[in-house]
Amino acid sequence: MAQIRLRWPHLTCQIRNGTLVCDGPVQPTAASRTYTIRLQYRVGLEPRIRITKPRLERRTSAPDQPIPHTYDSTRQGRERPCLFFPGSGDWRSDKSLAATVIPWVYEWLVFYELWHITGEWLGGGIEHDQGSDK
Amino acid sequence: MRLDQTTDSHLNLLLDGICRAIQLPASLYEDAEGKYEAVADWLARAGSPLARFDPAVFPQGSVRIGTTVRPRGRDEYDVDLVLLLNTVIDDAMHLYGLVRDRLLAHRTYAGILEEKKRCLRLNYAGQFHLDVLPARPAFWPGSTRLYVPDKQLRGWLVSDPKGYASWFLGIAEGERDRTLAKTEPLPELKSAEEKSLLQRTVQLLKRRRDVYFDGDEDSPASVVLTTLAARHYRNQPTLLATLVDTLELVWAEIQRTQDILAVPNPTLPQEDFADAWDVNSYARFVRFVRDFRAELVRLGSSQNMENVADQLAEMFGEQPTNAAYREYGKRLQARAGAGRLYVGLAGVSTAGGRKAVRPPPFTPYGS
Repeated sequence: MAQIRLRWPHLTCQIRNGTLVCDGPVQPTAASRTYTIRLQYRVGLEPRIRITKPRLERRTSAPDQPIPHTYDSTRQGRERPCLFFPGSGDWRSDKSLAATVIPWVYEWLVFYELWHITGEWLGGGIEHDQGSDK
Repeated sequence: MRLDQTTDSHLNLLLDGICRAIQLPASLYEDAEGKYEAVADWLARAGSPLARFDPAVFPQGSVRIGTTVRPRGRDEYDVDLVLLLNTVIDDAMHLYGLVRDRLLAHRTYAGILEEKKRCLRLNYAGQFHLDVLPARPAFWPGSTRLYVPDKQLRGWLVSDPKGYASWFLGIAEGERDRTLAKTEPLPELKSAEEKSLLQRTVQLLKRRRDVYFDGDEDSPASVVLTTLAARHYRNQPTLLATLVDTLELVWAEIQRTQDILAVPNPTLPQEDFADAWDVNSYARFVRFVRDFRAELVRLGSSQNMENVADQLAEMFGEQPTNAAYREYGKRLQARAGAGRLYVGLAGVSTAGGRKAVRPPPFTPYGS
């Protein structure tokens, strides 16, 4: 938590019932809008990220296509960025949230914005198998 | 808000990308090279009635100075060729007629020939125009000046295409036009990276002009935009900075001018490139300069990437804008994948900022 406060001072963090909860604004590039995010982390579980404002949206020109690289991609308005392949080792509990998950949210949001513009996910990643949506 | 004009600023990266996307495709250029050489050969070869005038052929205009822009949609671009005949023929229309007759004697050329005011145009529909400009030496001591026939005047005009190219390239690349050969091929096609900031600035001015005026006859001539940009070039460090600086200086010049702005040919001051302007078309040019500058300042301070993208597409066209964003995304991804992307309070950047971290690569998951 100290590291998050140091690096990302605009996030407000508190611990509620053993869960770290951080809320605050994220502007993915100097030319981007500002999003409000919520990070939740409980030791032993994987960190959860939600974009609380504005809600993630599908492309207006292709409303049938889900947002790439999200959890709950079929539940519109409930999508959450999927930042790493579970079990891939990208994230481990001994890694610092401030140096991994939080900057990854910035990166994910840039690629989300570029996906809106180009219709193409340019941020790399692994596709879910069909039907294994979480 | 101050406009961030640095190399890594979002808008500068995108303008770089748009400029790359409006370069002439190599295939189109190779095709033009082939046709240029064939026409040059047909005009000058032994056995041609023009051969006795010891003809020289060389390119002029944007192809010579590296500022040609990929045509929009089904538009065509210009390849300009000067056919210099070593003669003192007095009758301008006679010289024009000799060249026209030689082109008409070729079955293909005869079918696509169009007589213009000063040149003879071969119309390769859907691709480009090959404009053949007949000329004779002006015998001006120490200069490259020529006489070219003008159908309206039924007489000669002085012109200096080599002198102009040399002036422009001297500013753009710090070197004078190097070619002295009598008959020259088209110059090698350069990529956007090999081009100077001035050349790329001219290309963006031309593309914005093409979209803004959309084929309207009030559209300012390329040579006017090119000359103004070169005259005001001050070695700014980035494409965005050069473009904004050019527009600001032209705007200041407009403000200082009581009447309609003159754009004299720097190598031939009695020639005004802007002599076609009247009150109305000049007023539209003034609005074009003002609007373009305002658009860039607005874009540079915008905090909504999708709005910026929409606006850029309106300014330069959808295809080059989309290409620029894809390239921007790929570049960020390459950096991120190598752990060389910076993320700080000001967001994601290819340049490190205060307190920025370089997060390790990660693998987004999910369809």
